Amino acid sequence: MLRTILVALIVGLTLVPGTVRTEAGESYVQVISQVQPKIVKIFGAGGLRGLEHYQSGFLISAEGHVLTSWSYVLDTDYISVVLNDGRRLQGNLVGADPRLEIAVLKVDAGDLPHFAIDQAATLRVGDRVLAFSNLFGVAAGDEAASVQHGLVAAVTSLAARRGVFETPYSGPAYVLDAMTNNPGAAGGALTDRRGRLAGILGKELRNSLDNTWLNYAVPVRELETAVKDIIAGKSRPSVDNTARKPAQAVTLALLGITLVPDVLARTPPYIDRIATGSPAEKAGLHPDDLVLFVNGQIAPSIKVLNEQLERIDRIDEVRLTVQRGQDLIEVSLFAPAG
Amino acid sequence: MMRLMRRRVPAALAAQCTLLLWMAACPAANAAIDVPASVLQAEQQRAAVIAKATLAAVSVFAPDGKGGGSGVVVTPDGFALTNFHVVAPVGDYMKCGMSDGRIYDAVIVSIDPTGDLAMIKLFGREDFPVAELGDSDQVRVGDWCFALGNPFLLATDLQPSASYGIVSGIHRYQYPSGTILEYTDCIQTDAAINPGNSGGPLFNMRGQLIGINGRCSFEKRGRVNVGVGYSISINQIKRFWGHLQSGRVLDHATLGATIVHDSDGTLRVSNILESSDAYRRGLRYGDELLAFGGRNLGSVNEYKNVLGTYPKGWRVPLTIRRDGDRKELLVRLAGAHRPEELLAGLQPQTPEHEIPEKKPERKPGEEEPAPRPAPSPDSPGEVKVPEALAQYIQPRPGFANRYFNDLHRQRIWKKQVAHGDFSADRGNWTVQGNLEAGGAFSITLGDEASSAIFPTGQVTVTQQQDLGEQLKPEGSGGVLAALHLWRRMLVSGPERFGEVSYLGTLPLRDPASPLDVLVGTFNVTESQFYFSPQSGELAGLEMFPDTNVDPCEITFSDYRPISPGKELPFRMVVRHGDYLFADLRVEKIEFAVAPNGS
Amino acid sequence: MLPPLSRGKKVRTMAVRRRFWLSFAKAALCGIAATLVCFSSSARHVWAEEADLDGLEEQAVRAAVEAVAPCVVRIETTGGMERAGEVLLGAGPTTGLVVGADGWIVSSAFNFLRQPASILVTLADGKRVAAQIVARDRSRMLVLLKAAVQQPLPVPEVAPPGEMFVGQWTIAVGRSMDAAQPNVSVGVLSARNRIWGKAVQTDAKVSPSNYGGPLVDIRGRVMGVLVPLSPDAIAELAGAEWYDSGIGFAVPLADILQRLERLQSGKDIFPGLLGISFKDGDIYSSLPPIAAVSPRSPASDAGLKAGDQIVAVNGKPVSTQIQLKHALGPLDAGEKVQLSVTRGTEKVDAVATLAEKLIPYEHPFIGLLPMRGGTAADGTAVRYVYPDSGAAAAGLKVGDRVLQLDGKPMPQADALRLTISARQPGDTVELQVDRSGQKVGLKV
Repeated sequence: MLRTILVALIVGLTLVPGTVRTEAGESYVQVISQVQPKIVKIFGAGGLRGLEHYQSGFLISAEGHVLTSWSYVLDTDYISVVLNDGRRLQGNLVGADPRLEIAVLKVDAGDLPHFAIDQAATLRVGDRVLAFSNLFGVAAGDEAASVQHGLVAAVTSLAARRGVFETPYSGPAYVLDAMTNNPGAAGGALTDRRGRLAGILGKELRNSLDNTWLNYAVPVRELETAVKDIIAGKSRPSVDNTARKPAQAVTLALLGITLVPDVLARTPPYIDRIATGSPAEKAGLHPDDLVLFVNGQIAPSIKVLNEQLERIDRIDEVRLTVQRGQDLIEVSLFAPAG
Repeated sequence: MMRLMRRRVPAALAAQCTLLLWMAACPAANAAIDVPASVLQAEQQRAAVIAKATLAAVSVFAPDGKGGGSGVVVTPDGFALTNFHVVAPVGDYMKCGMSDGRIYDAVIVSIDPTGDLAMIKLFGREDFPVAELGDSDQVRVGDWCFALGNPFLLATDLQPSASYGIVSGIHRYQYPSGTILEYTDCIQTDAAINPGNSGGPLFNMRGQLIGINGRCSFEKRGRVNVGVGYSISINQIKRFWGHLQSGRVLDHATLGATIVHDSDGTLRVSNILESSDAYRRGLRYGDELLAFGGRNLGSVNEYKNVLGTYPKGWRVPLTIRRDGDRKELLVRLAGAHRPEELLAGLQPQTPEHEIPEKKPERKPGEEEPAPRPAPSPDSPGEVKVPEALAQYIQPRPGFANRYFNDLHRQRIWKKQVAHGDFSADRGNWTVQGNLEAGGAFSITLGDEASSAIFPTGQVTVTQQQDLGEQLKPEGSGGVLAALHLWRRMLVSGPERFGEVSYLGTLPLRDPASPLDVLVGTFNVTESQFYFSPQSGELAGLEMFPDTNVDPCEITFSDYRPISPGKELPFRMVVRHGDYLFADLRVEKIEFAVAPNGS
Repeated sequence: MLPPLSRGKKVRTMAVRRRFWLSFAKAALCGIAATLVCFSSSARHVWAEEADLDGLEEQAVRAAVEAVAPCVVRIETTGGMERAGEVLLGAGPTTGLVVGADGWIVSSAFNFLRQPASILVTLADGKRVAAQIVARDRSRMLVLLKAAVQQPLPVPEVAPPGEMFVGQWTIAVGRSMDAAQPNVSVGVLSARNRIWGKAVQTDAKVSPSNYGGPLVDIRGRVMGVLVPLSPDAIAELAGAEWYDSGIGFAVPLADILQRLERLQSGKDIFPGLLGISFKDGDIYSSLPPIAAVSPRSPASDAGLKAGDQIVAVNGKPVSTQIQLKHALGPLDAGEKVQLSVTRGTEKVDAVATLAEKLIPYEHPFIGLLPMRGGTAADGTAVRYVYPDSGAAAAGLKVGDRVLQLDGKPMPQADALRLTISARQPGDTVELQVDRSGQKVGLKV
């Protein structure tokens, strides 16, 4: 064992390289100057009641395909796309996938600098990133989009739990430690530190779990097929806003559990009574047990617990984790057949 | 609901024993990692640059300690930059905390309500640490930078907060928001800029000052940073440098024309004032603007960016295209605001980013020392200024602090007098010589009247009448009246010339070398006297007979001694508008004995 | 011994003795395993050789997070309140930092605003255990949790406060977004001495996503624990409005460890109060003399008096209110503080033991209302006697006229009021009362 430690130590020491220096920031300046020509500013509907009439996008083909965010800004006959060199072109809506909150526009131009969407980078937590967007509509004419730096703070699912984020998109997202998701930033490009496309900046989004505003981008890898379908003219499914509920869901009554009265906004789900001969009794649940998790998801209140059960078919297994004293106990239950 | 709160400590003893064993085996689970030397070195370098820059950073406090912002010292004798909106609610006198732990008294020097800048002067040292000025035109998007300041007035230990980020955008334009306050050609950064950072410095990673932080895009969350802060570029400040020392209320400039983005993507003149200098220089409706101030234009914002970096009166090169032909114009910019508009900006206000005083939130029963003081109804004007400082505060109409204006007027004149004290030469002056274009001239300048013989004939002016209406000889724009005033200034000095104040610095003909300017009003005629900041020589004179006409412009050079300790120019080039009236080669300058011997 | 999450019904038949030894053996093994982790963590990170500085910095941050990750836990709660006052409280997972191998976890008080019914900790290895709040540091807005762990937890290495410098890398680590992978935010140290000396400041993004988690340096050493703080208020929510704004605070871990033993014993820590006040004024200008000393406060117990000029705290000179507040700010209730004051020409050293709370100033009150407009000769006529008051208990009645208090004549209501206000609540005074012409003595 000692030898293992020593080997590990030696390996650790020898792998530390000598000093490799580049002028700090030099690389960002170059990378940014290469990325900027691929970023566009999009102007369309809005401008009333605090709704901005602008957003961001980026070129994904030499022929003028622009990937952007699907929003009310595109809900107009005249979408204006301003290239980095100041050219103002009409943007035609090629198609959209509201489920992914993306749209593809086409401008009539050729030989444009662009990102190769099929060569998008996949990012890990801790990767340095650059975010390009026309946040707050700061840049006009041929002025370059704004650039922000940061890193991938987390890679997480936007819909880890229903209702957490008010977005139809439910796949993985790069959460950023930069304040990227400002008005007008949606549709902007997220790149790695070498300027390789990695994500599309999302809309302003509130995290209802902790009441904070979230800064995130959707990985381009998640969108690649959809974008290709849109460009190829294939139809995309419309918004699917139903997290499918089974026709016959399991209930606490079926399991033989009665909780304490739900009197507070967040009444903790303490078990009040267990029906004799019920699945709950057979599984060993007791009165006073506190239900913590339903199928691995935390149940912070009776209300949430009931919502969680509504999504479980009564023929499926229900795994409950309960706290008894300081002990956590997991049980598996099935509703009685019939 | 608290039924399960029975306490049970399982196997506590076991845990204790094992802890001991485990601690002995490994004091920390995550032993510090080996970090490449280059990473540590870069970290140390950054910290060293920040540490050095910190020395010049300032926390600005209202004299009652409530509210304030940030600033940065730029001269060893204590001149410091901050935002206009920081000092506006504070008043003429303020306190400045620095990282040496000391609090220095400071007074207002100049304010620029349009550009949101203010110069203040700290007292108490002649060797203040200063920020080295950078070149903001060299700033590139993606450069690392850092801000220092006092966000949310957290720096109770007088050590500024540092925040680090990159340059997100350059040459940004931010519209006026309700006031005349406008951010032009500013640097956008994602280094955290919060309320209280206002007026504080933005540095590049060489520790050079590249901007003064002053504005943020705030939105849904209210007044906290959302990754978008704006910094007034140091190059704009450098152009206003002389003005910022002048003790005046500064104005920004206008071309006198409206520029719009045409549907074909070009920038065009959509409207132009016929009374403007731009019009007189030949700018017309429909002209396409290509470049301004040496910068190519791609948007109206860019035009406004260039415009915003110049003080009123600066002459800026303009490239236009008309019918396919390119033309270069040198246009003198007019004032952007009426004096009353500028003064309106001086009213106590609640500017966008001023830190409101915080209300103390004491716990019941708590009577801790040093609570945040409760708001007091005292207006800043009623604050008692320390006696020693009172002499440095002289508010006058049109001036933020006349004291500093007088200081500069004296400085300039002292330097001029080193080239010759003419106060005793009160007799008539005779200037004789030849015109470069051929022909002789003889000019006699007197106390009350002056006369001249040019190849075109003889002319006289008398100050019994409005000099601005005696623009002789024809085509000169009034060279005789101008030289009459030239002699008057040299003989009487600024104290007795008329109303004379220091304007700041403006270029005469070379935009790259601004000169110190004294503005003298006498006999309803306003003249600008240009002095070389290096030699102190009077390098030029412009006499403005009226607001909307070209001045008579004389450049003085070839200074030679005419008697021991007295130098005068032996070349005088006279221009009126675009017309070169004469290049006077002086042969002889003589002073007659003063008639009354005084 | 069962793993924390066991399937099926838990059987409690094991003898305590057996459990003791089993856990001992297991813990000892784990200790050795942890030793391995400890060494391998420094070797684990393989540095790509061609990387430029940006790349190396990216890697270094990742390595630092890896190093601290075993000590960063996820906290979930059930039950509790939905809002604190007007503020809707978050419900998501939060973060904690292991500070003691046997389940001691520090977190931000913000994370427990709900006063939850149950606290669950997910360890770095994914195991879930129950935890309880043992004590709170109400000055630094921290809580100490005890998690029911059966294996020793890895504890972090401490970054010595003396080695911290403005501009150094600071990495804020949480475990709220993903139980398996810490969430990360990077910035620099903005300032060292904030919130009256109780915290360091970072421009890394600090928010509910990492409150309670560590702020670590580029070597993976823990500088402090992330908490929302404000210089103006001591409350769980104070400073939370600055989340993600580039204004974040961390309480130095060294300061926490110094207080760990006290917290482990279940005793809360409170800000130490002294009980002096100053006239309103500029807190950045010269320190004025003490305007008032609260009665029965640490200051008055130490003999401080109004008019005293404080010149030093614990031997450190102070000349402004902010310096005084910085000197006292980090001190807890129960701590002794040496105050040097000048009183006239005299120099006095006083030692005060700071208090958890000050006894609110009470007006001494005997329980009567005087008749309006009494004349000099009459004494003070009683218009009303409050039931349950001292006066009522002593038998004072409406219509009585108070002639003397402790032998001093009380010709007017004002004189009576003034004399009483100079006394302490609880004192006894002797009244001479004229009742229908008769003189009666009463003790009140």
